[in-house]
Amino acid sequence: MERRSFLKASAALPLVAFAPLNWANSTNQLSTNTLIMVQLGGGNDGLNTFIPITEEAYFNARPNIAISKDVALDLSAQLAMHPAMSSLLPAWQQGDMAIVHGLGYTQPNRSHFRSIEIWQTASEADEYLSAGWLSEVVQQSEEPLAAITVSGSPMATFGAGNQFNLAGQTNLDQFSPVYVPNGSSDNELLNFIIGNRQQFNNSVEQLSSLLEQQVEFAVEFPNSEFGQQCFTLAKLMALGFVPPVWHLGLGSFDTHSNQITSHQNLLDDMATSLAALREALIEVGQWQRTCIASYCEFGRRVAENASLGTDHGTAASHFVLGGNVSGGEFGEMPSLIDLDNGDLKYTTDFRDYYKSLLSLSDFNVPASLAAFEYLGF
Amino acid sequence: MASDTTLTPAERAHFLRRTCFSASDDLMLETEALTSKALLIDWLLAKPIGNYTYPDWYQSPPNLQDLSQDERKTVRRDMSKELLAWWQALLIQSDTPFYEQLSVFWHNHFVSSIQKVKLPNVMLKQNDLFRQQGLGNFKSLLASILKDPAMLIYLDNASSKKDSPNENLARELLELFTLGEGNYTEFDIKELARALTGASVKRRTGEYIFKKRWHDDGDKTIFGETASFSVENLAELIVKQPSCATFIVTKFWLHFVDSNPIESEVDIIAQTFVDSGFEIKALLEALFLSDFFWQSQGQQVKSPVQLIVGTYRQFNLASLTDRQWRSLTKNMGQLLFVPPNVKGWPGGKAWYASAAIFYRESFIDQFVRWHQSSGLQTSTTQLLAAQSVASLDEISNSSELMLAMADPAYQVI
Repeated sequence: MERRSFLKASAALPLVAFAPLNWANSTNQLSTNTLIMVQLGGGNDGLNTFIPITEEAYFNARPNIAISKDVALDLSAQLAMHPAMSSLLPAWQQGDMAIVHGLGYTQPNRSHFRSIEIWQTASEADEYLSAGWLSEVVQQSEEPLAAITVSGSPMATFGAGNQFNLAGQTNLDQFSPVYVPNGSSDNELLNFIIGNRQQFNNSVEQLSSLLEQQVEFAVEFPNSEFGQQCFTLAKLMALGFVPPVWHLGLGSFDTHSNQITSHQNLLDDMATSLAALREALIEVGQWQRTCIASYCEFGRRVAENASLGTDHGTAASHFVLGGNVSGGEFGEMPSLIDLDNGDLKYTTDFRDYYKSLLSLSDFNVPASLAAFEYLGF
Repeated sequence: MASDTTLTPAERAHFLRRTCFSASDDLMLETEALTSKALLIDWLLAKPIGNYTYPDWYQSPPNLQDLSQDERKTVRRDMSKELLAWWQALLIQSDTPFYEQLSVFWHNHFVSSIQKVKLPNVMLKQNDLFRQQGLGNFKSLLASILKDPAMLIYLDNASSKKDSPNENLARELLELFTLGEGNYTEFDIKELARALTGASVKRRTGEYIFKKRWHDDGDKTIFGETASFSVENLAELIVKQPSCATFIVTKFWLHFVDSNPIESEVDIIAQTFVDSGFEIKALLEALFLSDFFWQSQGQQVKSPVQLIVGTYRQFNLASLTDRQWRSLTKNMGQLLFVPPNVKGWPGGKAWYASAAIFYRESFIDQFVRWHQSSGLQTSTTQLLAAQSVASLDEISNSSELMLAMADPAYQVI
């Protein structure tokens, strides 16, 4: 049986109880901004993305995998961009793109899983927090759906119930409500399941009616998974659905071996998809309220390894795209000579970056970020 | 530790669901005379693995040398479909389901993905290692994994050379496979990466090979011990680190008990594990005898594999089509051989989230409606690990069965 008919058939289930709706009340005011976090899963090679093109040390450390001056896209006298990201050049030239250098933290952890936890909870390296760094923004929102994870490892730690994880699925219009029993249980796990079913139904009611609609943009989105996820996001925003927080993810950027082709393909997919997202949001008048920001657990080792790849490192450059971003370079590119055990020494605390993103979006800055700096982008 | 009292049918059903996917009529009957926990555990752990066959291409892999790149891709795609179908058939039909449960456990511990490894016969070899050695000695299993071609490809050791070693396997070996984060230094990883150089894979055949010229045979200092370590003696060195036994016991606890390992109890089981010389049977026996295991009924969300395999096994039905199995497990978030990353599937409550909820619930609905004409029969004791929200006491007709399986209680184990 085809999956499609399988789903269709199940939609006819007599047991299904339809959840009450309150979608009509949740129209967004245009004053709300939206922050789209883009996770470069696995740890993007920052040095081959935003390249310190005048540094001899860069070419010496990477005799086989450095991006050559001939092909790199010059952004400034000292900085070049990977050629696979050419579709983001217009954003850079029009002042819609900020690049923040040297993002990291003290006592860097080189484990994917611990380091992404540090990033996602905005903790110290030796501090274990359970709430995500955006959870207050999400909880303070009055939107019934204040955070949508389209893809990537969800910031599960967003906290509250007013969020939904599409887990990469862009075919939500095929979904139908699931059965929610009346009553509750002595077993907390069963209550968790009941709550999640209810939340699923509420989310589906909101989202699927929108996703059923046809929206066409002048720009074409790539046919890749990430491209289609960006399209879904653009479509929802075009229809006026604008939660404070989105999460997108792609990768694996964990390029331990033969990284030239794989990194190129990933950056190409990412850049063309985000460029399409930008154009689509400009077209429908939503770009001014939008901020797109990349992040990941760490950058990669300065020197290449013998497998033509790079191992886990520390600091990295990231980018911010948005209609009211002040374009340009922020923070300092770390030295490629003064290294910590082969790795970059960070120059900009990642929580400065977070605080600046919140400020750009006019979100409240939580007390935990009070002591950090605004970067000014 | 639990005292040996007479087992109730509900306790037997709990044990069978957790270890063998379901408390089917057959298994309930087979274990009826086992009156104590010790006897039941012994019944499970003493069972030798049943007979099974491999896909034709496993013993004699097709020669891909003369094919074009596109042809090669097609052959591999077909093989990888057959690989998934092969495991699905074993999961649902094997007479020794506990070995399949263990294979799922090890697949989610010593993680590799076919998306990177690309060679179905190499992935099958790793999968069969879990079946054949998964209930044996942990040190031996670890030693085998360090020479397992799928692992060496997946974590890039196959291309690691002494002049600039690749750290990927060394790091995940300590962080995720043996000691846990925080129980080693960055220096240990760099030295371990040196020790692992040379452990590689023959490109032509996909077999393990030690490339002497790529190996750094100098002294390395790992965990404060200095020797010319190589892939041959690392398992020995690693398992004797104090955090190894507790780390492995914790992983078993998360799979077979619940999401809240109790440190003091983990320590006791870990000591048994160490005293046995790292026998996995000794670990499991201690774990299954723990009161925490018996109190954990209904405290775990079923994994997609547990949900689907358990459902088919409960009613002794033939398997799904390969295509259905693939799309169901993919949509529910557990496509076997394609774990999300080297840490495997997060599991626990994360299984019951957002989009996956729809696919889990529509699977149940579809299953009952497809099969109700074949007279599905079971009891709440066998089927449900928790009291249903709908307060069903018995299941006497197909609408009660539908109610029981649509209940949140069916989503837990």
